[in-house]
Amino acid sequence: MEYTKVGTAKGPGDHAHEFLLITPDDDGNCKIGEFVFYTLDAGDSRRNVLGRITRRSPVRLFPDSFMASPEVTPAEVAAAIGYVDDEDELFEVAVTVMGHYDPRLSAFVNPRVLPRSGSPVYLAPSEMLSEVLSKRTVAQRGSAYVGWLLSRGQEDVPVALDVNEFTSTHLSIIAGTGSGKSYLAGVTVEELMKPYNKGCVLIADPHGEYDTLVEMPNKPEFVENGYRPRVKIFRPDQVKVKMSNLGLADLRHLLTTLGERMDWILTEAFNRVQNKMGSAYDGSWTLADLIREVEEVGQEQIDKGADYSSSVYGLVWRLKQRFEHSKSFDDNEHLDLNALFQPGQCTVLQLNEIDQRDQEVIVATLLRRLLYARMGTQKGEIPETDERYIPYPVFVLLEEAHHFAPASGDAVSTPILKQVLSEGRKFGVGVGLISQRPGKLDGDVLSQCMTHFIMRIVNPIDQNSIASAVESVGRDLLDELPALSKGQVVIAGASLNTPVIAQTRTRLTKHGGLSIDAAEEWGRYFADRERRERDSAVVDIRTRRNQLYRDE
Amino acid sequence: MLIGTIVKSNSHISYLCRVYGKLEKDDLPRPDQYAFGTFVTLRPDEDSPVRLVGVVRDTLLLNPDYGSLGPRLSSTRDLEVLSPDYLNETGVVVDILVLGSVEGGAARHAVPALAAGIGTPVETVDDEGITAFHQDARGRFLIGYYPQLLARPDPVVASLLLSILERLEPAFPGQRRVINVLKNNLAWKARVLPAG
Repeated sequence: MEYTKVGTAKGPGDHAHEFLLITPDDDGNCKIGEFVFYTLDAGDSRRNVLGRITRRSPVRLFPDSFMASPEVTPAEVAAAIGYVDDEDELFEVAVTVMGHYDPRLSAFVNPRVLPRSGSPVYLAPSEMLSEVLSKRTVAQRGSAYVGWLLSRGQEDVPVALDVNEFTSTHLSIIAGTGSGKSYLAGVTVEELMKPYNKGCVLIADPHGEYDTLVEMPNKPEFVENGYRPRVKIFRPDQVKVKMSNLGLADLRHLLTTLGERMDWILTEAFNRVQNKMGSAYDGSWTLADLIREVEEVGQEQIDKGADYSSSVYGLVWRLKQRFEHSKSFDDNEHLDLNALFQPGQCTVLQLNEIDQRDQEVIVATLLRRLLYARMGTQKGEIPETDERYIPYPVFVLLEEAHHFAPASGDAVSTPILKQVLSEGRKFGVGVGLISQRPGKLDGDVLSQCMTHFIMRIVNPIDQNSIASAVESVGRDLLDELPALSKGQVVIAGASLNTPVIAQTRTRLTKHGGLSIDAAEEWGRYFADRERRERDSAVVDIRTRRNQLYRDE
Repeated sequence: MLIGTIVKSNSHISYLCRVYGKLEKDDLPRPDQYAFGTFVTLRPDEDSPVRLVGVVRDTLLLNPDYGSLGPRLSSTRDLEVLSPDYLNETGVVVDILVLGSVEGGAARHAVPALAAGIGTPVETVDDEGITAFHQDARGRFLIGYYPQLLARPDPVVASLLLSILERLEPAFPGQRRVINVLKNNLAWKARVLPAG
């Protein structure tokens, strides 16, 4: 096969696995992030050693003075003094060696030998990259085709992630607002729900923008041999958490500004109601039970001569005020886990219109129940008839993850999220975190995710958070983040053989998170108002018709 | 117009030309015909198709009598009769810098392979010849000796190039902008930077 030569190896680079090449780069092949290779003798065969371009700097440029006039190109000036050559510029390009792909190991093996000075360096052909960059092939079981290599033509080098990796070792989607993170999340969910995956997915959707996924069952791409994915949307008023599923931390989080004495009474009452009714996961205490226990604890203290009446009164008032008319917390109703999680089902919990603190408690409770349900199911402690019986792995996608695990650490959902991220792999609970502010996301939480989708990030604080939390992405790729366009994404981590810059594929379902066209909306509203006013003016004239001549 | 002959060389591209004196030629060259920046041509060999093209970069005046404190046996007026060759030793020498060559009508702006010999006649180049020398094969403006001259540690080079560019500008109206860029860069180096 004839390969395209892009340059000539110059010598070693700044570190052990880097070399430099010199190229005129007339065809613009040597882009940062592009893949090139050199060959090495390996006994009776030759190995193609792949590398990624990480840096490029000019080594020969026209003098500044040749650019003195915008009307004259420096090449014209150079031609006038006798330099006529198409290859005006020369670049020094740094390449980080990835290695040669070993199909037996399904990984790159670094030969630890850099190319000889003067040896040719070739552009890696798309066919070669398609075979080695992704761990899976498109439409293979366990694959998620999310886009194609940005430096190549559309769909020349598809990027197909290993679903098993990111649904077990977690995923993060980090991007600035408007750079396409919800779109990419939608693509990922679509892939999970394709017939070759039949995924079990739940999306916590604080903006109500994933309801367009209901189109999936009606799209032919998702239907095959009797399989048709189900999409369940839970509207905000349908999202319920049973009181007895709340933990003490949840109650404390929801009942803000509790005094020391109130907190003690609540702790005592909570422990009693838990012990009376059994574990929080099979007991079913109600708000009335908890209030009764609070009053009993208070009475006991009063009997001992301590005046706790005002604290008891205050705590009961707070409990009633918070929970009695709450739309999210209920004595009896809650979302059955086996209704939320089924293979071939995508469940969308719409959390918009729900108070931020309530959202945190809802997510924390759900994750806790899910983790313990999966633990119990795996250990054989939960019978098949129980709503907590979930004998398959699940994947939970959390939008606005920085609300559920903020760097400040004051969210009730942070500890359980950390527990799921550290223990979830063993029990088949995968989490996908989506955030537009990685700087506000807990660093431990981000570093626990082993696959990262990182899109356009301009804020330097956010860039630094990514750099410190994400080991798999090199500095060269992070430097590209501000320059990425909408839909372009750096994908790195366990689900791919090497980090790549990719273009997100087109969604099969409609995107629900589109920005509002303000001018269009205003124009439409203005037209409507004008029409209404015109109509009402007609009515006015009709009603006054008889008075018209009389007035004059 | 023949202005003189080569009498000495300083290097492969630098020659001294003695301008014709009274006893050598009836039609003597005027000073403006061997002025600073004048283009000249030299034929290294009678039969050679190659003509060297150069430019007058300096002028020297020869006067062996100047500084001689010895007694005069005859006055200057008598010398014209008694020893006219002695008077001929005073004269003008111009320093010619070879810029390139022309062969078969094609200009080449580079150090020529051949050198001129002693006694080689030096002839001025007319405006048409200058324009032709500064055109490439496609008729575009070319001043390929520009970097070579600039590289010389010579304080008059910038002024020399500026005078050449100013002279060439009307001949290449389509490339006035390119010539302007070169002129301005040169003016900056020659006039602004040394004064700063």
